[in-house]
Amino acid sequence: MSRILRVLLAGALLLLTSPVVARAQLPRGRVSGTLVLTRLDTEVVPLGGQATNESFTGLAYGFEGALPLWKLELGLRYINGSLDNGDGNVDLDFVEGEVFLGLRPLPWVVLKAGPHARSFKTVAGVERWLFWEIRARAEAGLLSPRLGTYFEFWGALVGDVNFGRSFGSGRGAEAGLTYELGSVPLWGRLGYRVDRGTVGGGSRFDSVQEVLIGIGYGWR
Amino acid sequence: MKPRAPLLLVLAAFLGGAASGEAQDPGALVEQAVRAYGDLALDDAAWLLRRALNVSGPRDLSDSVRSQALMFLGATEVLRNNADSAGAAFRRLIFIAPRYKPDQLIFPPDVTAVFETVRQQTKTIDVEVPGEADLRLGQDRFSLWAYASSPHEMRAELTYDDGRLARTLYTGPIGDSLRLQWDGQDANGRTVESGRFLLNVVSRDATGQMIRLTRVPLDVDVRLRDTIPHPDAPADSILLPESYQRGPSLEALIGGLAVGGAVLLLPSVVAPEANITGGRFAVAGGISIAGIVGFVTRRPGKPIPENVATNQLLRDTWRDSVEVVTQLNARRRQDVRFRIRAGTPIRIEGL
Repeated sequence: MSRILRVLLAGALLLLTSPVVARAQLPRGRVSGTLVLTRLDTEVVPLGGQATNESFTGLAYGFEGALPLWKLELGLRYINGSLDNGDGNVDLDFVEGEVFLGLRPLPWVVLKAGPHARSFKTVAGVERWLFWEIRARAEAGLLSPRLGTYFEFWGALVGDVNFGRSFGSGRGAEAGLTYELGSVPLWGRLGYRVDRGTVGGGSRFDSVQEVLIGIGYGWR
Repeated sequence: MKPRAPLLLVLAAFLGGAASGEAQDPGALVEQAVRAYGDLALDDAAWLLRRALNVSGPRDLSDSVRSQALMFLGATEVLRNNADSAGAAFRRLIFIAPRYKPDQLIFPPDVTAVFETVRQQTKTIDVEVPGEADLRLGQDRFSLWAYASSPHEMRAELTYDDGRLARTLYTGPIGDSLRLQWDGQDANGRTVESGRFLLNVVSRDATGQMIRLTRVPLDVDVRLRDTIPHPDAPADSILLPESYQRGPSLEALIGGLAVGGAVLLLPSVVAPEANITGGRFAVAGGISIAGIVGFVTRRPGKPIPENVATNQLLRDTWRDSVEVVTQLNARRRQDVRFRIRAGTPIRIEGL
């Protein structure tokens, strides 16, 4: 990240967290920057053969955002990063994106649906996953209304992969803690997420585990 | 020629009166009597004046014309050497108008001397009351003037319509005049209620006996300003709970442990074949600890300082409002207004 960009980001953060801006009538949207400790486990089971496992770990970063519109909510997530297998021999450029339209029937429940895409770029090419998922998310306060927890799970109705096999299934879940400062619209998040996709009748399993550390802006 | 003129006048008046009966204007009779007095037709003047003064009913003489008639009648009787009749006419005049002064240019000194003698002997008081007055309790006073025919002892008092004494305004001597004031309170210092009062001004003779009374009815309308109702105390529904209840603390504990446990179990449920990372322990631990801390810090019965402070602020605000309203109402209670309407004075003689 260039120095100018860092200065601009720091200035924007200071402006957004100033009390004047905090008291202003801002839209009740929120956005967060996310640091993701990612682990990808890939298990390939050739037909009649021995299963092979590969694991990749690395750091990704990105952003998430949500814009509530009455009881609807538009959500967006994007992260990218680089993973390696630990000995430095294989690197994967990892990109993941989600777009969701949600409905909040209760103040603490959100039902969401939308596409979820993931790609790994290797020297051999780009592997892409596309899931069309439905999700349910519940939120609750723990220590106070400012310190809360959430739990979200999802399943893919349909999907697609680009590496020669048919899509199998997809599911996942995420849980975590959120904390809002209260005086200014800043909040933080610590979460854990696990996502699993299968292809070809169980010939390959990709599991992505993520520990999420996020700092967000906006009223929840 | 001249002595015959009053006779003709009387005859004309008599014939006119006989012709028109009670239709004879007493004011015109007085005018004729004055002309007769000027012509020294004293018998005619006396006859005309008595006739005018005896008219009663709607055609009765006004006080000023009656006073004029009595003055001329008294003067006529003085000139006719009828001292008793003159005294009687002057007493009647003084009783009607204690401040009456005979015109020195019209009446000779012997007449005015007799009048003055009678005036000194006659003890009566005329009361001058404003027809209507709007007053504020504690700031304004209802003022009236008492005018005496001659110095004597008097007593002025207010009574209720049923005769009970409400307030004595004055007891003592009166010279020429006296200003009386009433502050709207009774003898006990309490603000009177609306109703009819009677202002009684009594003249006393040297022995203290009541000899004459002038009574003025007063309709008093006391107007109190409406007070403001006190604001209601904060309802329980808007007060926040001042201590933690069992429910939220248990929810925090169960929620934290449940979600923390779910994080631990997620990989084995969602992706059993994956190599489980240790990072989830940090997340699960964080959530569980938050739940436990939530339970401990929000254990049932523990005060919630923020809510206590918020409720205290609500109560303090309410108390301040009550105090302000109390002060406003105290001010409004003091802002009592009176409207006093005076009726026609009644004079009672020979008590």
